[in-house]
Amino acid sequence: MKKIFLIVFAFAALPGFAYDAGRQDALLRDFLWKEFINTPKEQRAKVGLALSAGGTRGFAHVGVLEVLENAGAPVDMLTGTSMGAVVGSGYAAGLPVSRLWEIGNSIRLGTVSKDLGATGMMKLFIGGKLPSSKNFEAFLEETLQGKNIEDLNIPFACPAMDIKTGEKILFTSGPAALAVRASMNLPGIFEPVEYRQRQLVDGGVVDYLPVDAVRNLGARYVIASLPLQDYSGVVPKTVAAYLLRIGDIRGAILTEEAVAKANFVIRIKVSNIEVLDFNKLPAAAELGIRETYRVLPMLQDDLIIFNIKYREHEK
Amino acid sequence: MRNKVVLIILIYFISAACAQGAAWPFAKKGKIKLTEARELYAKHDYDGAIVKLKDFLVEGTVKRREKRAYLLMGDCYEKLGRLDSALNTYVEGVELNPKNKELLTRLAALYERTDLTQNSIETYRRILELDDEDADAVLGLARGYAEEGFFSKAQQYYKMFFDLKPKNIKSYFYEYALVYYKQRNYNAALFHIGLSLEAYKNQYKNNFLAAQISRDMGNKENAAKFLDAALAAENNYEAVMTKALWAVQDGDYASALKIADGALAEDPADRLALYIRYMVFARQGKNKEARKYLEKITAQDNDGFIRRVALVNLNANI
Repeated sequence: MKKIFLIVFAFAALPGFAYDAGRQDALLRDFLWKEFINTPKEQRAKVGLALSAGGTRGFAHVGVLEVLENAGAPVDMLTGTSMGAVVGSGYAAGLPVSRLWEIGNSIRLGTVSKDLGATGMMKLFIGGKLPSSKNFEAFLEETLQGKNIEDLNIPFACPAMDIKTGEKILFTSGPAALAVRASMNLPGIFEPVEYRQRQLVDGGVVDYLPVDAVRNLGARYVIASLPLQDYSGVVPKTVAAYLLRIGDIRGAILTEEAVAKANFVIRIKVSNIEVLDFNKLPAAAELGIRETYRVLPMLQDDLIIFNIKYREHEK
Repeated sequence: MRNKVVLIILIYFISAACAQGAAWPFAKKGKIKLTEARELYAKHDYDGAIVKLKDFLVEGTVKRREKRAYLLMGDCYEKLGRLDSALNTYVEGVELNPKNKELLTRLAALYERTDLTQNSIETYRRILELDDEDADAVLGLARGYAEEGFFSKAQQYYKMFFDLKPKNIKSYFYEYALVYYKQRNYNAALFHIGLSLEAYKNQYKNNFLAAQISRDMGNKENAAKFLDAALAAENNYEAVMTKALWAVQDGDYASALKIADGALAEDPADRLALYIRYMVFARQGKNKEARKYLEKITAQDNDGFIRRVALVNLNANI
């Protein structure tokens, strides 16, 4: 009690004691944020994370996850398309972010397919057979410890597309490795993945940013991570690169609807990284960190305010 | 044939001597300017020194690659507080002397000072390419990455720095502990802030961070002890209001109100103090009283977080 009087007295002793409004905001934000993240899951808004497609630059999601994890932001469920599915499934399986970084440092195009060498090219030109991404499924099988989607630590879903019908196929259960492989199986680059009479290719064509999917898993508040390409610096040099870029631009255009449905969008501008530029995965993740950390106070403000409204609504 | 060879050699030496002879007066003149600039610098006449250095660095239309002059001119600009000009000087110096560590270090440090963190990281990386044991560059990278929120990488560079300079690391334990704290690795944060406190027991920032770490670890008693020590070191608004916020959380409403009243006596529009008063009454179910403070906050003309959160609470059923 005596100490409190001393503190009150101390105000008078301070010269002006004026305090920057931004710092006042930061003090209350920090206080309310900690109260929010320490609130039991059942008593707060459930937070979902939607990770977009985007090839190599989708690895920026690792940076997003690192910043969110450091801040203690809850991720109650998550969805991802293509590279978003790769990163998201790993995180949902319980891999620490440091392990995701290791994957980014070691994974190469050869990890995805062994048909990209001379033999594979022979098969393509003579037999008209596209390279297979089967190799990647084996890699994922090991990384995700052979788990099914429903057995992952965090509820997870990823979309793919049936190339025969153009339908979106949303994986919410079944073998995680196969689902993730299908979700990032670039059409025209890799042969379709056969699964239950379906021919599956990359989900980026039909659901580039799976916001609806994460809402369907029960998220009330959706954070979307969207690494956007700044194309000005890189001109495609091959037919395949042109096709990949066209698919990528089209997918990105289709995100507008999904973006509008998300509560908070982390837009990461990535330049000089092409869709299959695997050497630049860590650089993409670094950009994810930088942008997410920059917008973190805004995200915290928005989520705290949303949760106040949510709790009022739930009363 | 022999005579021809002798003649060619002779012509070569005569031409070289003539060229040197022609350049010599300029070189000497330039050197005089540099010496004069140094003298002016020593007399704190930085503007005068800059004029001399500009003359010295541009001879006709050709720029000299004289790194000492760029360092001196950059320093003059820094002394005058003209940081943009200092940056341009170092950038130009580095363009002409891309492998000069001293110029790169000055440039990186100035980028760091002016919050151009990405540029500082890039420049420190260039220094490490030249010398992978440059401790200043390693520390610069650690701080740069911490500033950008890349704490795991910052941590790696701090470790490298401690390996390079094991004798002088005590003063860096605070920032190292902070990096762990920002990763919510509380055990490691507490360990390192403990080391920092051993060296600087009465420092405000050490005690305040120790208080925050202890509180987040659930050790309220230690948190209060460190917070009081921080306040004893420095009557800081941040620590005082943190005490009030924690009092609200712990249900010690009387203490929270007293602190908030102290802040309001100093500044009746203090939004944080008003919000603390709101929380105290709202958490006791005294909604009518609580509402008064929300109205006071929302009547203020700003769009900060406190006003926005007050507005949401006001519109909610309180």
